[in-house]
Amino acid sequence: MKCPTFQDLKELWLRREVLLNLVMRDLEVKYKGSVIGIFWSLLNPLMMLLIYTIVFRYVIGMNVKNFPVFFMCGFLPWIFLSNSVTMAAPSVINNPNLVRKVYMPKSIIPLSAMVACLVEFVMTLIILLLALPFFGCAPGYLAFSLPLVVLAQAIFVGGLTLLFSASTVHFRDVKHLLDILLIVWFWLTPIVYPVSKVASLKLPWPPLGDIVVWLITYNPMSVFVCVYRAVLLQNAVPDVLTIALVVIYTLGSAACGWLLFARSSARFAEVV
Amino acid sequence: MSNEGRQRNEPGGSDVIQMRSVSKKYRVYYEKSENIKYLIINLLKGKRDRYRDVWALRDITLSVKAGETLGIIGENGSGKSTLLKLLCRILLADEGHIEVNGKVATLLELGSGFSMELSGRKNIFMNASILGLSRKEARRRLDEIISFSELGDFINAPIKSYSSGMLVRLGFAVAINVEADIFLIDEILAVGDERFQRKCLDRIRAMQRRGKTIALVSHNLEMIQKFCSRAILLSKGRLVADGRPDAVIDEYRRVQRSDAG
Repeated sequence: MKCPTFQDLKELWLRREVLLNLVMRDLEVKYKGSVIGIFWSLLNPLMMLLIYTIVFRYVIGMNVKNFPVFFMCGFLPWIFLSNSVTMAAPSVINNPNLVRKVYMPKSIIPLSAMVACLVEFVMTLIILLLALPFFGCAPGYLAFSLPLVVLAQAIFVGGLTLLFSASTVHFRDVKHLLDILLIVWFWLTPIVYPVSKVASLKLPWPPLGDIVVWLITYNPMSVFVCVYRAVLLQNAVPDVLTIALVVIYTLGSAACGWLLFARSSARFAEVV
Repeated sequence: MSNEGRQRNEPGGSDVIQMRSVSKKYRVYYEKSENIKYLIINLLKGKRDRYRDVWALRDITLSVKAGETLGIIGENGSGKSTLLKLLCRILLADEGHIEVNGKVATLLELGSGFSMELSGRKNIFMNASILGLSRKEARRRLDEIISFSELGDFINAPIKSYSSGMLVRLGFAVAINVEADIFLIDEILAVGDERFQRKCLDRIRAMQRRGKTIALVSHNLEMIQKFCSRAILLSKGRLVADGRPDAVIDEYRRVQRSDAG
């Protein structure tokens, strides 16, 4: 079968060592000289936890049960997404020689940024798992499905990194747009507040309120956060709609990202 | 010049590279919406991108047999590098057909993927994988690569502490150890001091003896004459001469004189 997508995937698989080497390079450069390198990946979420606890609990007076675990279940997957996309978006234009001077599947470049973030994410997730019992919610049997959830999110994020890195090649200011998008997306995802708080959201202009509620409930990251919490915090199987959405978002993002990237990457060597 | 390697790689001197009426154009923009902001402004103003198509290569037909060493010469901008990049699929042809049989090693620059913070040893694996050498193969050839680079204990130091000569030696040591059937080499042989250059050229000779196919871009006509079994001359994107190196080099000098005069 001479399907170009299949050929590209096969080639990506054959050159996986390049991807792994780029990942190692990223991680080693980042953690060089610090034995407790993982400490830096943990510092950000911990500081954020502290700040959001102060603001939401003591300033605003919102009380969420077991807030530290609740927050981390949403924030760690979010950091994975936001770091991946921010690092991957300029990755192709920052590595012109890998595009212009050697032949390799170009998708390796953004995907290696995603995998580097994935490694950090998995490490922080393991630490979270180890910490769970101390917060009175020892992980149940459903925690075994965690690798599957992480895999689905990695594919979803991978699609986004392809999308944004390809568009950054053609439009150099995608970065600014992305920064704004990430802030909006963060607040439209129930990471620091529970989704139940928005069920009765009243905005001055009702149609906008409906849109906001819909986005907070059904945007891809909300769905993923919902699954992470179900698995880690409640030990409950997510409902069918949530699982269906995870599958749709994952496949949709992967397909869009891959096809768009494949279409535009053929000419990267001329425009980078 | 008959030896085992040749016979193995050259069953009746079959073509390993075939180009049929290949053309390649570059789009040169005078005005381009390089960001979304300008795209929107230009759309509102009804302005279009302005560009001109420049043909970098025009109607190239060429076949190279296994075991040949092809020298590619021509002035700057005549399309030499474009030709190599088409052969290794970095660029796509706009017209015509290209067929390359065998594993290709692309040596257009030294030290692809080098990271200044990491040791020479780690960079060997990085660079090798990009050039198509697997980790296993790289590990097997590691001693050889390190000794060729003449870096000694420096191999474990971050390469930001290297001199430019040391970087070049490391890059070349990896490149020369890549295993392939066809080598596409762009001007990277003009590196290092004279002694190191000689060492590199010896390795190229060894590749030739093993029946490898080599396409070599260089401005060093003396080297083309000495190394190549055949040469082609490109001028303004067209193939204007093809044959024995000395004849093609004479033609090149004649064209240059007539251009100057």
